[in-house]
Amino acid sequence: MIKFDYQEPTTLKKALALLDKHGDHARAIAGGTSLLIMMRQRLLLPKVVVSLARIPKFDRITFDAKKGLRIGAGARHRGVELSPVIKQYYPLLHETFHKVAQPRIRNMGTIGGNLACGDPLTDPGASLIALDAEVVLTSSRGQRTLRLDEFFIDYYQTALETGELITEIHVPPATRPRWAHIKFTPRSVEDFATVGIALTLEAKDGSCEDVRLALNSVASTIVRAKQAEEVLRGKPITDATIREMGEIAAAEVDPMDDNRGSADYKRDLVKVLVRRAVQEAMQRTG
Amino acid sequence: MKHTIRVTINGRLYEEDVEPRQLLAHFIRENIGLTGTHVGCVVGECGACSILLDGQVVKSCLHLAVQADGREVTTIEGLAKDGELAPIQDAFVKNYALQCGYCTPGMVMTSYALLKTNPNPSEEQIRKALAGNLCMCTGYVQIVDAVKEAARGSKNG
Amino acid sequence: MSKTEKYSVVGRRVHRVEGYDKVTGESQYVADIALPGMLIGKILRSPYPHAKILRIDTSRAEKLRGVRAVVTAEDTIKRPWGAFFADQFILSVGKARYVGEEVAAVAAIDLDTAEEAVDLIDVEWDPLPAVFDAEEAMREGAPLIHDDKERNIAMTIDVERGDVARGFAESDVIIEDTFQSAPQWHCAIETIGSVAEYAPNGKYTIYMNTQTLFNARYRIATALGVRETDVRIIQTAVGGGFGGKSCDDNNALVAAVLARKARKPVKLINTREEEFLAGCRPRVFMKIDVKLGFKKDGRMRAKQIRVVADNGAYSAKAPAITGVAAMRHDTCYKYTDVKTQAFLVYTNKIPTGAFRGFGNPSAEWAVEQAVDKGAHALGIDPLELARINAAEPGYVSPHGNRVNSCELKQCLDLVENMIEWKQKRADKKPDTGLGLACTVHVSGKRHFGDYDGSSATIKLNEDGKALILSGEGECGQGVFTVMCQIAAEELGIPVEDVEVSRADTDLTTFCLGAFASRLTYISGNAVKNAAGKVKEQLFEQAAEMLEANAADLVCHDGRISVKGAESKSLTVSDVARARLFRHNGAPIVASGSFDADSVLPDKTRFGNESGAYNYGVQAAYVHVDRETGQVKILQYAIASDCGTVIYPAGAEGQVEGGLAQGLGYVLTEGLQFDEGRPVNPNFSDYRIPSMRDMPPLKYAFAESYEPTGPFGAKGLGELNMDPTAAVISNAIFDAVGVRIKTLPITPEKILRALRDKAKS
Repeated sequence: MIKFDYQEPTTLKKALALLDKHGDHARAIAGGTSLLIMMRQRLLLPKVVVSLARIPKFDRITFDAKKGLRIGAGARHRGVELSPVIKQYYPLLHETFHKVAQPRIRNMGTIGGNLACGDPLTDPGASLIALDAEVVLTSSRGQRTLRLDEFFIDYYQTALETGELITEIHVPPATRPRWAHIKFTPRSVEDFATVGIALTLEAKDGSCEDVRLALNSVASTIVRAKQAEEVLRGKPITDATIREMGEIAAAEVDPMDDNRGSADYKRDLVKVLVRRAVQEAMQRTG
Repeated sequence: MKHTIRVTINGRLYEEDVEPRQLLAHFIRENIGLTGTHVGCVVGECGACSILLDGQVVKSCLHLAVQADGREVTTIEGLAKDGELAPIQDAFVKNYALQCGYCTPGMVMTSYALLKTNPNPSEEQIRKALAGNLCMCTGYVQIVDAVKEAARGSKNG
Repeated sequence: MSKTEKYSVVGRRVHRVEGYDKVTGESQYVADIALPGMLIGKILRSPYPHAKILRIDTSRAEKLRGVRAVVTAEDTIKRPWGAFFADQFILSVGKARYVGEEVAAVAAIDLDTAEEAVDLIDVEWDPLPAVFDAEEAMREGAPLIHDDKERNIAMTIDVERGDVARGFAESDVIIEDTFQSAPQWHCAIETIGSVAEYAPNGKYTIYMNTQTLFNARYRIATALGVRETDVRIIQTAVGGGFGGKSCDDNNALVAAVLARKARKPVKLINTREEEFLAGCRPRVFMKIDVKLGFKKDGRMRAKQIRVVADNGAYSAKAPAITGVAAMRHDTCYKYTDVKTQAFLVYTNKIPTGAFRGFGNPSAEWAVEQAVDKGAHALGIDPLELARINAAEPGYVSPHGNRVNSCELKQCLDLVENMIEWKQKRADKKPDTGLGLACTVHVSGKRHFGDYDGSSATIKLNEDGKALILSGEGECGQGVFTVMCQIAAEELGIPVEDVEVSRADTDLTTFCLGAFASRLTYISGNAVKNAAGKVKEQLFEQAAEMLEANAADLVCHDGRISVKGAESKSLTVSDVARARLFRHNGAPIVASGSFDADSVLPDKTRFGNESGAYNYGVQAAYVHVDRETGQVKILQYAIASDCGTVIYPAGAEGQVEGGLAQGLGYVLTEGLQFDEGRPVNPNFSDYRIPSMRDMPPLKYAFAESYEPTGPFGAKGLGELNMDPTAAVISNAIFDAVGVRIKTLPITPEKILRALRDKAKS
């Protein structure tokens, strides 16, 4: 691996000052699982690595019935999985992190690190989008909040500017009680998803009041399928509308050919799995 | 520039100078000379490098040595006491849960960590906990049997 | 009564002899070695699939602080080497032929310095047109990879026994189809590595995680231009072999060249990525056209196959593997008329080579599916069809393979029961299906000259402990334990009192190592032979001390007595000491040897290739999701005929582990090539089965006894990788009516096939 300097600031302010000072030559490390792999593969070559491990309370998870969930960016996947409030109030998140607290990154990877990496093959982002999550981005210049569905720009590229860190993830109170999470891994259960789907849904008298659909592994970023959502929003939930939703979602994504399948196959899967996700969500009473 | 780190490994405190780029797995193997922790893939997929960091199982190939400063590490060498195998190790031997042995330290450490938090795991829980430890030799059946036996308390509960 | 009940140690559940070391992390693998002054090596590899090397400038690398040696082909005698065809160089000579080929190397004080130095080696390349497909490579005008191999054909096979034209003419049903197998990487969790030392007197000592020491020694000595005994190979603990560590790659050679130039020991360990690019030679993949003719009562009447095998850039063991694929499976059924043609073709990709199964998996992928098609066409249950045609004891195949013990029919019965074949067929559920395949493998093969043997020396120490000095080595499959059991059984001492030495070509006698499932059968016989001679010496001394005839003595649990008068006994230790501390004293030590009663096939490839044949049957019960193509294995059953099961836990491990690798081959693994370069050569994208991917498994061992094997045992190691892919494909066909003919089977292929079927 290339040589780099390692800094361990003890406050957020000091961390941000270091990121400012070194600009594009610096990278933040929390758990380090994604960063180290990319550095070994020479995809990232920072001269300075700034550890966030000593920043106090960076992994805190708090919940307020009115304001919702606040997850510190330094919270480890395992912490999110084990959090009792998340299990109770955000079962979609609990399920996602239960499936994706992968042994590979168990106890090490952080939610902030995962989102900041912008890897479209990973699952947390899709579930968070389906819950209307926002990210709080902090720099020495101040703070801004961004909807997560606007945060991912391209393959391994996010809206993070130089000198910015994700410091918190906000998830508003869950208003759509029906949900589904499908991680399709036909090769090995431990694989990245060939197609990943997160869905939240509110239904009344067989009609869809509101819906969010997010997918991973089917584009250069994690995507929110807004057009597909429109197909169902305000409409009766029938075989026909669900099918159409799947079709539109398949047209909305832009998968890659890779060794998990061709782009065409992944689109076919999206059609089927979106439909199954809605059916699964309708089985849940919330 | 080298950093001085203080790491407790298997109960003993070490103070060493390391370069930031050095992986924890290599630090344990080369600086400390504990070669029971193995490197198989360096991308955190095979689990051969699994150790305990502050009691939790982590893949030491995805960790920098500097990140272990001030923390406690347990490696495979830290399990047996005075030549006597820990119950999980004994169970592995008795249940033929190893062939080439290369994945074994990682398997044992992950199993050990599992049984500490969940002393009576179901088969599904065992398989889920160990899913990140790959083995090319055994087909896993005997490993699962070993963990079950250790849970039942093969030696002394 | 089970045949093994009469034995004290053979067939018993004993502990792995090296289990304690492995479970405490004390086993010494090659990466664990630290020698004084040791340097770390790193290789510069070709980024091109086919390119001339115009110039290599190592000056910048040599100047880097901490670098002790930089080598290119100029530091070698440029002699090509190879297991069967000498077509590979240690470091590229003139051109590189695949992405990953070794071009130059560095030895430095640490890995980071070595890596930096490799980046400083300047190579001027002239890329050449490359060819990546075997059929294309055979066409006129394809780029020539080796100047002396016209149309890139390394080898051809053209063999006919009997008269297939007449056979087909007399057939009632003919099946014709084409199948394509895939490369597969061994993915042993430990990669290939070595530590090489060079002494001023010209001797190389190489610590290697090789599974075939003496073959390695021979090839390394040849390539370096020295005598065999100028090279000493010492085996470290091996973290899995599966054929991948049988010295067809350049790792140890490069380490040796660096050590000689640096005059210091050099450690060279492949990274996982290097392992995918240029380490273990992946499975030879083949396109196989099959034609089978059946009589309407199910008897096979004729068989014809044409094989096009992808050699990659260098041959390694592919010539022998192609031969196996062309002919081995003809020992499984009672054939009369067979014809086989094969072409082994160079391409600009990683050399393909030895992997558990050694050509059989590709052949069975094709033939066992064709047989299954035959069953459907004939309207005969595939299990019944197998029964009708199954080989039996005494069978002689069209190629001259002589079968002694054979319990294939018993294996069919066992699988039928374990998976409840008849009941499930009678109660077919939607989208679920049953599939079956039969397999045959060898217990050793006469490959490397006219010798398929082993040797061992056993010394009996004064304390009564026996030490087996064997050069076969252990890669985790349990052969050390088997040897200890055999020696203990033969000698009559507790198995805890037997040890096996580390394999070392200086200290142990010639043997061939782990391949062709030979170790239990062949080295077991050598150990038994040696133990028998040790027993003679022991009894000669004991007879004197007990004032009896040696012929009347027995040894049980370490005590020697006269048969029927066990109360008066001596310990083995008593006797060993007495043999030494006396006038004309001598230690008790003996060497034993065994060469299988096999025949080196003649020019027409006719000859009994092995001393014994092992058989097996596998079956799967699967469900297919018609909308996604996903396959779920609901149940799996395996029956194996490996003769006497000497080490039950070891045998079970071979079955379970073989299934995992077989399932990986058919369902989870797959690596794409892009212009000759493996795409994503890592474990994140090349998935091997995890603990959560294994199906419920039932298995059984046939009651069987191989008269030529040690205590009736024969081989097992590869048997259970061979048929798995075909089993799954046959089951999918039974479930949803589509047959996948290329590997790996992916849900996408199933979905497409279902769509195509619906359209037509």
